[in-house]
Amino acid sequence: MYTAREQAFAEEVRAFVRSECSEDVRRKVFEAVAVTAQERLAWHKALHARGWAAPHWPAEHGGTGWSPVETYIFSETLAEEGAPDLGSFGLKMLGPTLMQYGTPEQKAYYLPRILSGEDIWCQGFSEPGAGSDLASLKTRAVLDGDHWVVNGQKMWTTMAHESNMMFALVRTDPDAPKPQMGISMLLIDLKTPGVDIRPIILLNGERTTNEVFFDNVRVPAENLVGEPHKGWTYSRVVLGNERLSIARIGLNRRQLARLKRIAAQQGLTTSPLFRARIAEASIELDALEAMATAMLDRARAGVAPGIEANMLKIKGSELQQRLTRLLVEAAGRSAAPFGPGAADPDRPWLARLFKSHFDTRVVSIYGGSNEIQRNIIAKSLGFGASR
Amino acid sequence: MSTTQMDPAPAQSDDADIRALLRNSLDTVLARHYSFEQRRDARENEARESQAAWAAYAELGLLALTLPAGHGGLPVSLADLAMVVEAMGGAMVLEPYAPAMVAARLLSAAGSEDQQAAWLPAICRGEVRVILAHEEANGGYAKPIAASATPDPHGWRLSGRKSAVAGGDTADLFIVSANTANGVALFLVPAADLAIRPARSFDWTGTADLMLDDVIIPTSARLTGGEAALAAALDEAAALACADAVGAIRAANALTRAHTSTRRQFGRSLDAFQVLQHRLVDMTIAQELAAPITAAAIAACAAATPAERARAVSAAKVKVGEAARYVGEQCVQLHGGMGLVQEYPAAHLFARLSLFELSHGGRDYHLERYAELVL
Repeated sequence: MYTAREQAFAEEVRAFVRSECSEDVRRKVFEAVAVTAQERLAWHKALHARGWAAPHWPAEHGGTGWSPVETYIFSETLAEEGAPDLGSFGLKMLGPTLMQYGTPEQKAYYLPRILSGEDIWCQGFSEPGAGSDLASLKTRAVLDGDHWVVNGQKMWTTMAHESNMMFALVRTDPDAPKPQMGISMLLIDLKTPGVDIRPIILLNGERTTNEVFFDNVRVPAENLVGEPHKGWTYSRVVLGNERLSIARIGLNRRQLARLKRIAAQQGLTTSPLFRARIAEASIELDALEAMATAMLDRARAGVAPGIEANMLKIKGSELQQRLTRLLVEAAGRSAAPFGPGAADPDRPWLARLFKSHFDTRVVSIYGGSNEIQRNIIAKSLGFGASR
Repeated sequence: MSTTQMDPAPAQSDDADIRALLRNSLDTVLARHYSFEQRRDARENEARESQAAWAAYAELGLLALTLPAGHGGLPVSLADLAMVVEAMGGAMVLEPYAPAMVAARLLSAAGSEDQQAAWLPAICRGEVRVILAHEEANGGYAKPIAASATPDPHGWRLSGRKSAVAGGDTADLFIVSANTANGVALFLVPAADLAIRPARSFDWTGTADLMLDDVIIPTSARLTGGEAALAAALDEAAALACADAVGAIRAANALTRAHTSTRRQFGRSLDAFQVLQHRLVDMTIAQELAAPITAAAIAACAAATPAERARAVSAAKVKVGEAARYVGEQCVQLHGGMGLVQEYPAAHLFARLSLFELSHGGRDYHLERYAELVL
């Protein structure tokens, strides 16, 4: 799928990961063991030193100036090689939004800090009553002198406990004719008095997400992104970033390799039924990759991805779920023991299979659920337009 | 090779009142001991299960169901037992009720009169918990059994390993399957004589690996029954697990319906969206398919020939497995983020249904066995 030049580039990236990302960390990623914040930051700094922390950013802001295709090759190669995800919130979501809509001061101050890993961002969009229907959010911000005073609650705030900053959608005009029109985007320092971050513990016992409460939190007026009441428009840009890598081809390749490894260990590669199901999953991945390649070809010609990105999100997330389900099936009941001390010393990976299976349930829920993705596609194709 | 069959209980209770009474008391016990919060607290106490609930099961006679009256049992039908197991699946009980009942029934079917007299009364009273240790890590589900039993001057020498034995962490007594020179045999082994690695499963129920490192057991530990009794017990275990899953499927559907009727997005309840209505309908259809095929498998365990029994149980395991997967996944999906948190039942139901799918032989094992029987 790559040209010779692109292939050479992929090899350069591969060599960099292998020399600069510790073997230990990469093994953790391969085996679905959680990477610590420190390990992630160390890899961030290695990429930053090489000038590769934000390849998709324009060169003037410290990016690489790569084409969309090179950026795609870079991120998929990183995933294949087991480099930890740096987290999308600062680098992929807020950064490009600030470049487009931020004030000169915001760009000058925040972008270098995102690049270097000095600021770690989380996203304050969802609320208890506003999930798929994000525009119904209720967190209020009222201007008081030169500060916005924020009150309300955010929910499903991934990684808030490992972040120092949040970009949040808040309601600044409750009287706007449409709910979408009264929303602004604020940059909130999480150490401000009145911010209370509480853990949400998932069934697997992990804290990856949080509730964040705001009680009269005073945010400097200059921390409003762009113009007041335009936050909804900006949030669409935020969510629209990272479109080319949406099918998670590299991640799925890595999981497929893991599945083959475990199936072999379990003696299942001779089972006709199980072989067929690995083959089906592998073919699905080939098909997704072919579709992603076609999208890349259009990107090379300067055509931005459209609803095919939504399609790839649906099918890529479904494939992630299929692969992790096959992983636990390969182990059978041996995958049952879970939690501290449960690991079989001879086969420690067994105790992590259910975690992968469970964790991937979220990929069809977050970032716009697959139901919402299908709504977007249906609308874009004009279904029901003639009624 | 032994040809002993399990003594089948009558398929139906003579007295429908007994069943209604049982159901009532059971609901009372589960309501008293198994709120979501009580279940969480039980998991956090030292035994990591509800000892109060286990005592209540014993007091109600639930631990004596289908066992011989002569040894303290209450000879009701296997369908009655399945009804109890289904209710416990819906409440997501942590105690290994069904595994303990399968093992007790195996003891009553394959044990000598002396062995039964020695253990069954205490089992019925809830003082001794017996568990069948059969499944192995790489050996597939039913066979071959890698664990071996070889004659020893003092009786038998057991070696091998049993993997992820449900309820093995709290068992007092095991029935261990092992291969001898003359085929499969079953041995009664006190838990205290074995090296056990206990663990919690991801659905919070207990499990254990058993290391059989040249364990010497007396000749008298061997059960009279062998391979045929084991096969019947494994089918019963699978059929009762289907009943547990049906209970969890019903609970997941009820939870999802309640959520989608109260959660509002875009100005209306979630269950007002047609695409979600169809999803809820498919979840309900899955439930309505799973319950009767489970009842058929239970009936086949009670009365049919081994081949008919195997066919009915494999059919149920495959269909209930499909239903469990679909309902478990959609229960999470329709709850959104709430479907994944520890402080809400949806993820727990997903976990219980996921573990059901992996246990008692996976989909491929039962598809292959079914194909062997019908092609």
